[in-house]
Formats: sequence, structure tokens, C-alpha cells
Amino acid sequence: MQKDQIIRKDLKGFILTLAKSAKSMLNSFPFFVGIVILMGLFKVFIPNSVIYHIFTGNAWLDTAIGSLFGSILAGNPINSYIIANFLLKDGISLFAVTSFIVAWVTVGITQLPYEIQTLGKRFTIARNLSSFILSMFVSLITVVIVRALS
Amino acid sequence: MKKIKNKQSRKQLNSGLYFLATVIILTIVALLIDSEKTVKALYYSLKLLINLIPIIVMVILFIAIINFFVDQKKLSSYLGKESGIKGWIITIIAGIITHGPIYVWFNLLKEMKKNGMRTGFIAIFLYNRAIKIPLIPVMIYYFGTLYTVTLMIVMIITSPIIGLFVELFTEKDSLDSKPMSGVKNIESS
Repeated sequence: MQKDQIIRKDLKGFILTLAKSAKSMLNSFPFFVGIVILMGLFKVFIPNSVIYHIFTGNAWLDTAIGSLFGSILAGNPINSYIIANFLLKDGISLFAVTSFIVAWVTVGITQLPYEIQTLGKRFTIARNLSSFILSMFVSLITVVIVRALS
Repeated sequence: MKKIKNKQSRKQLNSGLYFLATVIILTIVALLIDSEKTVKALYYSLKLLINLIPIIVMVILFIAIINFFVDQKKLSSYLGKESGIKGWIITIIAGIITHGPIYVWFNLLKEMKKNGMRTGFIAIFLYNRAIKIPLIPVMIYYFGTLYTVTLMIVMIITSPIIGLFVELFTEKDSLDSKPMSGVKNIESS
């Protein structure tokens, strides 16, 4: 009987905690809707063809451009693979393509306001800035290793 | 304490509503420029939002489990300042195996930070979210095994740099350091 009461009390406590968690996520819902709408607008208004024309052919400059565009664009990483594959076929350097893929998944411009709200301004700036810079270094290291091994 | 919490959650809701209002204005402008494209974009967004729902439910459940079952001291020993190499490894693995968009995890991480998780570990977790196991075959298809494996390994090895940089940068921030000072209280008690 006592055990039954403890289980009931625990269950009630867990349901209350669950309700609190749901409430805190609901407070974030306007952010989710906003981010998702922005992603849709980016996808449709910045077509892949625009990205193909932005690269210059200079490997170093293209690496920075790759990181920049990877940071701005968002969505399913598969899209970045498809774009990157086309870029490679177009003769864009592997350095640029790699920094583009890495920045796509590590830097998030569209979600910046929500990240600032939940995790703090300094954290968001530091995380996104360091991820942006690191995307170029990761690209450099990866390509050098791949070329050395292949 | 409850009043402060209510104020914080109201502030979060208000900021979200301002952000959403800005995006709606932007969408109206886009509608005026090209209605066909904008409708296409909204349709894409709706599909994305529907796909998000199961992940949001999962994160709500995670937050509740952590708040209800996980002891603050224990969490701090695994992911706090004193966790050592164990903390780094747990964070990297957690980042790799979890799925869904990065922003869905922010609330959970905020809760974990309150419970004593290191700021640097949050950054490492988010960075390793970039390594998506289900997408590895797709990446191999496009770029080959050598390239894919090398990129994944380089990203995992370099991820602590992000954590260290973020901690270095946020240490001076009074707002960000508040939850961390909570960790010190737990440790000292």
C-alpha cells in the first residue's frame, strides 16, 4: 500500500515536471516557427544556381566564401552535399567545398536570435565565430590528409 | 524564485513573438515581391515544422527525465568542471548520436547548464551534432570513404577547440557565468 502511494506520488511529480518542460518548450515555439519560415524563404529565394556563381576560382578566397555561405544557408545537410558535389564538378576547390559543408552544419545564422535567448549572447557569438573560423581549418587539415593518403 | 522564473519565461516568449513578427513582416514583403515563390517556401516550412514535432516531443521528455531523475551533483560530476576527460568523451558521443535540428536542443542544454553542465561542453555537443551517422552513407556516395572518414575524424578531434574558446570567451560574461556559479555552490556544498 505504502509502495503504491510512493509510486503514485512519483508519477504525479514526473507528470508535473513533464508539464513544466512542455511549457518551457512551448515558450520557444514562436522561435521554431520563425526559424523554419526563414529556412523556407532562404531555400526558395537563394537557389543553388546563385551559389555556383559566387565562387571565384581562387582556392583561398573560395574557402572563406564557402564558410560564409555555409553559415548563411541552413537546412538538411544532404542539400549541402548535393550543392558541394555540383561545385566540385564545376572545378571549385575541395578546400572551398569542405569549408562550405562544415559551416553549413556548425554555424547557424537563422537561429541566432533563439540561441542568444536560450544560451546567452556571449556564448552564441563565441560558438558561431569559432565554428566559422574552425570550418576553414578543418577544411585545410582534411584536404591535406586526403591528398596525402590518396 | 518562482516570480523570477515566470519573468524569464515571459521574456523568452515575448522575444520569440517579436522574432516571429519580424519573420512574418519579411514573409509579407516576400509575398509582395514573388507570391508564387513565397507560397512554395511556406509549404516547405510547414513540412519541416511537421517533421519537427516528434523531435520536440522527445526533447520535452528528455528535459523532464533530467530534471526529475538526474541528481544535480551526479550530472555535475559527469559534465561539470570536475568531470575531466570523461566529460569530453560523453559530450562528443552525445553530440554524435542525438539527432534532429540543432536549435531543438537549446532548451535542454539550457536546463543542463542550470544543473551544472560546463559551457564548453555545450559548445562541443552542438559542434558534434554536425556528425550525422545516418547521413554518412550519403556523404560516402558523393565524396568517397576516405574523404568522409577523414572529415569526421578531423571534426571530432578539433571539436574541443570550440569548447575551450567558448569557455575562455564566456568566463567574463556575468549572465553566462551565473549558472556556472551555481555549479561552484554545488561543488562546495
